[in-house]
Amino acid sequence: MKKLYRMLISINATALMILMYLIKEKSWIAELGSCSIFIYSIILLFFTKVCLVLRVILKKDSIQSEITEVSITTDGYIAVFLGYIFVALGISSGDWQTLMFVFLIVNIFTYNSQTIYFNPLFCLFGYNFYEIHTKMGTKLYVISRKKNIKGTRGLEFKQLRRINEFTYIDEEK
Amino acid sequence: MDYLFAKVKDRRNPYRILMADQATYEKPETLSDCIPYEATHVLDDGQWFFVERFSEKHYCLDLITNEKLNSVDFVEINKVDPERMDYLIAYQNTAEFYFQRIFKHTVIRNKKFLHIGDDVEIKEEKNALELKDVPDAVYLQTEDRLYFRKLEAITPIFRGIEELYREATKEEVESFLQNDFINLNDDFCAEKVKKANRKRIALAMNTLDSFSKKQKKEIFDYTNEYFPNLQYDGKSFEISNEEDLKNLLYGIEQRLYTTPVTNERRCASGVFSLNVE
Repeated sequence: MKKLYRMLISINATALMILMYLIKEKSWIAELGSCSIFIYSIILLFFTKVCLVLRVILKKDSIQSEITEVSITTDGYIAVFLGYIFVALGISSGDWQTLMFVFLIVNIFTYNSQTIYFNPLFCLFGYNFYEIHTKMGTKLYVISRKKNIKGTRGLEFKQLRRINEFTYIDEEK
Repeated sequence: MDYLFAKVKDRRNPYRILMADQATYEKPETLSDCIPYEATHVLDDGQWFFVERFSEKHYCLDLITNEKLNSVDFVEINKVDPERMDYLIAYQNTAEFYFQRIFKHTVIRNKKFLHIGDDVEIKEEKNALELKDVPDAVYLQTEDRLYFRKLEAITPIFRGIEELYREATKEEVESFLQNDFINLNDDFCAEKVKKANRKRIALAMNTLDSFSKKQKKEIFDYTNEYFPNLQYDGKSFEISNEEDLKNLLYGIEQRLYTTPVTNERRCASGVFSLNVE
């Protein structure tokens, strides 16, 4: 189950590439023309929402003792986000094989890398990406809706779900 | 949040997180009925031994001295193979630790159960672990005490705790049997001394060391008085079997007494001190 979920959010994180390619290729749903962009976007957002809801199948976890360091790292992932767009735009017209191959490779890397699960679309649902160091020296990434995290005093994450050993998603607001 | 960890055979990550947010054990109700560990005491039903200031002991685990635990600091268990686990640690209410050893017989493999409820159905359990009602050991951080019932059961968890009560080694048994007050008969030798007596020897050696020559003589006379069948010539006992040795060791531990009213001679199978420190 866990593996399936990881696969799902990995595909979700990179699906933007497919969307960009469809727009570039002007592959519209028949009769809808360029309005298809909205349909595509809604599908993608729905897919993202499903991923977020399905986190309940993951194991529960928590951080209830001292956090020694916290920093927001969402901005760093803009590069990843742009990367997906440029790749999609760079593939020549009608070259579906290349697109699928690149999509597959990127997915394999995302799935196997422990930290690049961050999905730019999560931002739209109010999630941010935090890097956290615990007292025992563990460094982890938490995808959380918590706002205004400044400093580590009293900072706790009581309802986490474990995506993998280093990435957690927070259920609290 | 409550956690359940497993200790596995892995040097780098010995403690693995199994699950979170669910209590595994209930705090035993009889925990208040406890006495400091005494090797010679036989526990009543529901009674517990405890070790005071446990975190200062060299056999204490690093894991339980942490102020608070975070499951995120621990690696998840991958292929869950109960036979690779040594014991379970449940961390509950942020200050309680429960330990349960895992044995072959606590692992349930491919067993069918008839589930009787609203529906009666056959359920198959492919890979499961039986959780005991009462854990093997309980550590309460607030009291800094380790509670347990059987020392043998927890020695693999707290390496070195056996120093509280151990068996005499072969050399120690040999040197004990070579004491002047022992005369070996009928080929009785160190190899023939069984586990129970080896444990008693380990205790008796310490007891004897604390006695003066005069006290030793008193002890031997007292032993002779209670066990007249144990041959004693005023200097040494004739030991020809395990029973003789056991009686002598009981004598050294002063386990023999006479009831004050009924005047019955008795041997205490377990003792603990009533002296208040």
